[in-house]
Amino acid sequence: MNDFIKHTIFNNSFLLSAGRCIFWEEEKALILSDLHFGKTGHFRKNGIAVPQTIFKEDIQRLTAQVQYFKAEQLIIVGDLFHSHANKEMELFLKWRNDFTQLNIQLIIGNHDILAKEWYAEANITCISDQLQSGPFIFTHDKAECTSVKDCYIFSGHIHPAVTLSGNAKQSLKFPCFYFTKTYAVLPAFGRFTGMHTVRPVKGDTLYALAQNKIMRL
Amino acid sequence: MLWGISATIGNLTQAKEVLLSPINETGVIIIAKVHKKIAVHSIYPDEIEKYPWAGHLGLKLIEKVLPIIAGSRTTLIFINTRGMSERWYQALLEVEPELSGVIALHHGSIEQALRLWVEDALHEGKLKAVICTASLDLGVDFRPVETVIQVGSPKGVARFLQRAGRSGHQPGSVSEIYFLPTHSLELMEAAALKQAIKENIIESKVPRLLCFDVLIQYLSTLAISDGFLPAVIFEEVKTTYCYKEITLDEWNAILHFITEGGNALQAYDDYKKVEIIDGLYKITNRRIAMRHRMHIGTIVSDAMMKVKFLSGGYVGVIEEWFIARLNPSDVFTLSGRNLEFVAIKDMTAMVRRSVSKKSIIPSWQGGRMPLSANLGMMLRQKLDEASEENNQNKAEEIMVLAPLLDLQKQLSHLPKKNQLLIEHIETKDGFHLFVYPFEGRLVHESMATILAWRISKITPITFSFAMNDYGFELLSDQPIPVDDSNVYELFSTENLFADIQRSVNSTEMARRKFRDISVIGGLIFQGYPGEKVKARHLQNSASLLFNVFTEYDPGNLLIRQAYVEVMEQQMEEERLRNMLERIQAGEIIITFPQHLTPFCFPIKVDSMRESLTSEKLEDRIRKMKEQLGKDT
Repeated sequence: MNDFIKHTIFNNSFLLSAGRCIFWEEEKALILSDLHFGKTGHFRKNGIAVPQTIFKEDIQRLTAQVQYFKAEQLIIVGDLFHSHANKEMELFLKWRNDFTQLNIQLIIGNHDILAKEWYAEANITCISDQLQSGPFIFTHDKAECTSVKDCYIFSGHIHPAVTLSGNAKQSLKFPCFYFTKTYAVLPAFGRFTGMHTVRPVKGDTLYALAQNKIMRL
Repeated sequence: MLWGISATIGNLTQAKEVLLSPINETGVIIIAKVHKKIAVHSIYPDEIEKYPWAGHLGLKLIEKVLPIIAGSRTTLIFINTRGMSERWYQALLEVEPELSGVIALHHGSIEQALRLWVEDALHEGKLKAVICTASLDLGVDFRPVETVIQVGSPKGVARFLQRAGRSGHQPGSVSEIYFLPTHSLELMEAAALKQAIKENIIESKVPRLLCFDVLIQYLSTLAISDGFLPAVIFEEVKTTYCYKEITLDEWNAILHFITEGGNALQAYDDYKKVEIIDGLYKITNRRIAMRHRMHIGTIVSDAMMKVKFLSGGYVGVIEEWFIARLNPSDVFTLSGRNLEFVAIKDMTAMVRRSVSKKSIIPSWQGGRMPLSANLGMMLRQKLDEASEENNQNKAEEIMVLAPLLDLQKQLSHLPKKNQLLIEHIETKDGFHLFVYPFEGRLVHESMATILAWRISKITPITFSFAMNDYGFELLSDQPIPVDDSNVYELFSTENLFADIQRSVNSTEMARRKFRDISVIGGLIFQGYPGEKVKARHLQNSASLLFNVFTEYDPGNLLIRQAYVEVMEQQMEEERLRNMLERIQAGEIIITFPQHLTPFCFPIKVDSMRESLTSEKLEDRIRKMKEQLGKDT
């Protein structure tokens, strides 16, 4: 999980982690997307018995990433929570209490439908459409983002995956980080999520996540 | 008094046991000595040399169908999938416009009112022909039907008989059925079917055992009505044939699953489905109850979407994934009409009529019925007949196929009953190994898996494999190390059980089984029919769930069921052992054809593939990256 690759944009260092997030060295910020916390709880509340272990593992991985990179803030580009409140959120609040020093900014995604008060209580700063920090813009869905001249966009929403194909009709599919000339799409941090295969064009860079490793394609 | 009636089950004694198990009676079997006359005719291409080696549509023979339709009062044309039936309907109207108004289409995705109209018109003898799918297999009998045409393999003797029986349905009259091959080798099947009918060999229906998904559904159904008492229901369930071997541990695990939801983080869970109220197991939540009601049943289909005209009027239903791939102004075919896709509104696909000649035909998934074991055996016999040099009484179909079989012989070899043919062929796709046991698709999948597994222990190698009812193919990017020196060892019965276990875990078979199990067991919510807004936050896929359970809760009942079903229905040790012994006792012929052979061609073009690897993931990615570099 502690495998990472450095990707530089505008002289800033972004460490792409096999733990499905990016550490922005200059700002000591962990950038995350599509955590979908509370999804297993939402299913279970509706009578669909999916195991909660996957949620526990997501939270543990978050802890490990924060500690490994010594992050001081989180920038979440949307879909922190999956749906309405349920008991699983209490585990997140407990986690939040252990990391009170951590500044958390959430760019609201289409799944983030909790009440304003809830985020306030969890000490999360909500940003409704996009956040600008230096030459970087953070947004949930790149398609709905207002681009700013000479700025680079970090986004999520689509849960990107890449399909590699080889001789003899072989193919492999992995979640990936997807970088184009003007924007990047992060893989979903939450493991209980589907994937959407992206079709890269010339000049794009992809980093695949395979078996706890990250590799540039 | 309890009666069971059947015309097309091979294992009547077992069927009787299943039926009578709950009332604990032995019963009697009454067989009517009425011999139903069935006349089977094959439809032949004029030049077998020019008929395609692979395919599944058969439209090249459409001209041959016209005189058959003209010659009988009403004809039913059975097509194996809904998508193909749409194509046939349109094609018939194109070659014979005069049929307009007197032919109709009937399949499960067509609006019910229209289907009922077709059925009424059939009764009244108003239609010359109906193109249909399994939707007309059972239950309805139409006196005016004089002839049946089966397009493509029916995959089993029972089904073929069932369909033949739709014609000449009065006592004493003859059922007339024509077999139209969709590729040339399929004619072998017609010969095999005739033989099977002559010898009265019909498939057994093997009862499924301990289906936990169905039991979960049953208990949930009881729980949404008056609720149930476990002690009472356990006794009831145990009287059935399916669950008579259920253990108390398994039963308790199921109760735990529906009340507590399996593995959970106790303090952070609000799982809710079945509640225990004064010992009574009940579902009180109205939404959960409603969701369950919508999902009762064990026939699993993909999530469907309604199709409506912009101007109003319902056309039918279509798979959601198909609509999802369309762009506005794309034209597709449904209910025999060309429709232009406009937009999705309120979970309904809105369309308008189109005059466009080009359209996309939805390829309904499903349609991959494996050949039954009985038909496979008949096929091997017919092949043996074909290889007999001096036999003057060969089946008609085999005589017609002679040029093709000669070519197979010339390029490679025509195997006899006691021979297993293996072909090594190299193409631009890579290195192919074709093996022809003629045992049916399911058995071939298991054999391909075990063979791939065994070869992968010799050297790090990756295979993609495909199969049909005649044989299977292993394809690799490196030469496949199978030759005279190791082939008998690769097909040996030694370590079979261990190899089965390991190879099942390294392929997708259980994942595919889980697709149905997860829907029947209530883990996949497909939405309400006619709902305005999708319950988006409950969207999920069987494939994702399979991954999640495998990684985080491998002991889960339903995952276990998926593996058990693979082991019992497909990888049954005894059947595989018998087959390997048969191969060991016979002869294995390895050939190295320079060109693709008539046998291998239909397998090679199949796009549904499995894979198995013993290479390191990094190595595979590295190779693919190198390939990527070469391509660009």
